[in-house]
Amino acid sequence: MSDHTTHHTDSHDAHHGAHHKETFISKYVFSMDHKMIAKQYLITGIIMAVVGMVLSILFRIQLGWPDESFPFLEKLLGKWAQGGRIDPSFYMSMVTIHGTIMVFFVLTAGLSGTFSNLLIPLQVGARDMASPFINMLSYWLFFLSSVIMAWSLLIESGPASGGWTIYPPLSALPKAMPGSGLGMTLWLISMALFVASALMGGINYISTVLNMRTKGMSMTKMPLTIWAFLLTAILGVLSFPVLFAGVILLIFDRGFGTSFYLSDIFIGGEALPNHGGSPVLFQHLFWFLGHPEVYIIIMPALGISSEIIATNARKPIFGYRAMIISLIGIAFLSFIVWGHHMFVTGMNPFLGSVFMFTTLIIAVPSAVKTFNYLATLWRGNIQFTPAMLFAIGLVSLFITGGLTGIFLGNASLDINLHDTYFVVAHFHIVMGSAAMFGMFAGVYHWYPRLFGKMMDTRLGYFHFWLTFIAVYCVFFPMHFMGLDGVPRRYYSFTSFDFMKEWLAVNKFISIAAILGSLAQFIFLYNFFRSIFKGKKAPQNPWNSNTLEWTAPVEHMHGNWPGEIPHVYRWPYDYSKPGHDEDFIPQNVPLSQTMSSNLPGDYGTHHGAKGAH
Amino acid sequence: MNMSIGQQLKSSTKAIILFVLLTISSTISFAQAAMPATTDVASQELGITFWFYVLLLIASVFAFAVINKTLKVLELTQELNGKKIKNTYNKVNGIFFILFLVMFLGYVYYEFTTHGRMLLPESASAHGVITDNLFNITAIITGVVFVITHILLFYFSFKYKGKEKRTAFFYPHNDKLELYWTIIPAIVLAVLVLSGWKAWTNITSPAPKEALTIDVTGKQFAWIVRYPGNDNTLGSKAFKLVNDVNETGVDFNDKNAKDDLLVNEIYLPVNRPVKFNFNARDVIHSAYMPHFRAQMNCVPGMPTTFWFTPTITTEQMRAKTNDPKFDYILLCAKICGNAHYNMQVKIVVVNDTEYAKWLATKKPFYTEEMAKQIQEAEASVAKAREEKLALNTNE
Repeated sequence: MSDHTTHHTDSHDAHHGAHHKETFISKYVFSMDHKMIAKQYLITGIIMAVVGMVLSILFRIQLGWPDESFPFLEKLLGKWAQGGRIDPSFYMSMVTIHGTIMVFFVLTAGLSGTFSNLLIPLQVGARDMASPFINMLSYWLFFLSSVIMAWSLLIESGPASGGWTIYPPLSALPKAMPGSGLGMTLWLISMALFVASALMGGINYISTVLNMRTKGMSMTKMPLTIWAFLLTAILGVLSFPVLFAGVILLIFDRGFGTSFYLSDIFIGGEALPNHGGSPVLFQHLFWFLGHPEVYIIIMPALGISSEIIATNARKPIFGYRAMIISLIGIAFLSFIVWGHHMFVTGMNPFLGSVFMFTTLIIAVPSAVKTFNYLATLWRGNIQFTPAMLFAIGLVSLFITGGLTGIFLGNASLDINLHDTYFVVAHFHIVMGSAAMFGMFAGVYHWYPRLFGKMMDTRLGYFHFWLTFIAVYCVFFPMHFMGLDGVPRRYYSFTSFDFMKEWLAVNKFISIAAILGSLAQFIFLYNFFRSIFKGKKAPQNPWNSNTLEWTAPVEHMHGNWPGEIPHVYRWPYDYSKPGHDEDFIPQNVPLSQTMSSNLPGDYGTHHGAKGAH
Repeated sequence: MNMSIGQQLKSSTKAIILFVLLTISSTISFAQAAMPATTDVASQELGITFWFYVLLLIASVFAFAVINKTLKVLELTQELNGKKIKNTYNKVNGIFFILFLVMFLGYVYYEFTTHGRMLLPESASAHGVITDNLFNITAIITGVVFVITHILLFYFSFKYKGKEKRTAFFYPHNDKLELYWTIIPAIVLAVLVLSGWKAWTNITSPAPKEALTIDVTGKQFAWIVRYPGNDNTLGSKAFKLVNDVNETGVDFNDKNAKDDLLVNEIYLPVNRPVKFNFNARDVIHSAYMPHFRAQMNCVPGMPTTFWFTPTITTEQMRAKTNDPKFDYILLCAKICGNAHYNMQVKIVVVNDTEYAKWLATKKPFYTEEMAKQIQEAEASVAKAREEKLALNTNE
């Protein structure tokens, strides 16, 4: 089947390049080329990340110095910071939009949108996505949704402010808080478009991986990045529609007087007529997406880091099959753990026990992945490119944040940790920072493929070390705040005596966050400068095995000028004994490497006899 | 690379100047747009601190640029001497990783010994002792894994840093090893799950019959606490009866409701199980009592419940924590609106005699005067509702 597709696109391409000239609009704006769409996703994602980061710094200022006023905030925010002090309702809005932007727009669209688009066709050996047109639509829906979300920051009543999880009735009743008015409407519209975009992207990724692999690229010869992107796309396609349903029902409750989530409410001096709805229903629908969503975020990062760690340790990834199986295990289990977000919602305690079992099981494949990373580094010849540093940072953060998940997944411990800063610390480390590190690693590693230029290595080192230190300074102390019972989403900690001892710690965290955010400007400078002034990238700068490095540096529609390269081996033949170089690209036939072939190479179990 | 050092310096200086100009101009324009001219001393002083930070920022950007350039010069001289810069950086980063490991473990130790001492005092409830114990076991297990994996991760990064002559060891897999590190975590997690499950089923089991029942309703932004009175039975309630006087909609036709008490502080007799009935009347709240390791969401339209046995009185806890001002607290942990951060009610745990004394001072909420007020409020609500309906039919 893949053979057939290859021939078809080949012949199509032969009369393609020479004929029609691309206009500015068809090349840079409404592009249907997967590489251009990847760049569009990345740059939109970076812009949204800067917005999210600025919001986080603003509310960190409030948390660090709750009693001081900052006149420049009034200049910046106007009525939201009268007298230089951030307004509580705008604080809530910033927390909400920061979460939404980071989770969906940066770490979902920016991460898997960028790298699935760039790498799937290039690494499986396809000319483009299965449906380039739908791919283009996917980006533009995402763009529209980003614009609406960013626009909601500017409206008079303020953006949505019920937390990124937008639990009704808070989000359903404009009387409950200002952000639940127009701001919430825009949030819902934006997210509906986002879901449509994610689905279009996901369907494309799945069909490309399944149908358009080049000759010889069996599923067990695919790089782990592709496995991660495939499973991520499957999760998205299966879970995003549920969020869509939840959002539509919420729109009905808000606008058309239905009672899906509303019952027995007395607000603003009157009893509402709604009866029979259940706020907890929304939480089930939300977390049915929401939990797979955190794996949608982390799995591409894990795939990227697997690839980067193997390449730069100059070693095969340890336990390739175990890595695939654990990804599949994580993907499957992620659908049946959503209830661990709801242990204390009052749902049946028996259900809580079930979700506790499934949740703690998911730690096993995660542990396997961690140990396999460590084994890959063992006796390697580690090349510390900035990408490699970020990949190692990811492993560290994945361990730290993953271990605290064992506390939270335990229902009886969760009673006292739920909605405290312990949770904030946990997910910011394991899915926020770890996935962000995966994204940085990916950008540094595939920048030569994206722009045909190299990024500055030295600035990359500065960026990594400052960020790595800042992340631990910001999030590590938060565990202890949570263990002292400090709840999240508090505007200030001055109203409770027992929280006052944390004021100094909050100041420390805020300073670390501000310094860490300044370090990101090193990245931004490096990123945008290198597009124009970077060194021209060589064909295969990291001596990597995967197919994307066989395509020409200058982008061309269709990826390869001639025939698509065929694949003869798995992507991890690094430092294979008997070969004169420390890498053998996937498109090198076994007949050319007789001196290094192992008995296992001819079967399916890679290098089985190689390990003694 | 193609540019000379001089050119590079020039371009970075240009960037700095541009940055300064942008900062100044944007600040000024914002000031013109949004700020009426205020000239009081306080804001002037803050203005000065603001400029101080801007200057500090510029200075650090400049310092950073200088460091970066110095390294660049070092790189170039190295390459002139025929050394590969890649190998130098492998060495430097490898050493950084081992330094980071030492600093990191030191930092973690500091955190545990400093911030780790600022945590909640010992559990003041019976079940909390069990969960605290479980927490400690989990913390020890994960702590060991945390330290070992980090030592391996950063030590490997240091030990196997890239060298010209080194060849990596081709080691694609080892089925036995992988089996071990699948099964061992699985067993450890199974133990944790089972002990967690046991604790969970105990905590969520039905409350004992002799438990004191207290009704707690969350609203924006306060807690309404109702005690059952002498009969230890709470009167029923309905949200349709809620009005400004009868805040939780108690049905006073129910004779159990007649002696119910509304209180501002929660008093609990020590060593007697207490069952909380939670409810919310507008949005979701979460009743969180950290000192008792207790939390339950309060959901409009869906009653929830949580019971526990307080074991330490407020006085005893004050002595234990050496803090004469210590108080137990019930706070809101679920985002519920603008004043979410300040929604609290004090809990006081006392012995039986003090509890009886406190209870005796409380008068039932329902008096004849109150009955009249409630009737009036209900009538006005009903009237408003009728008018609204009439309006709707007219449309």
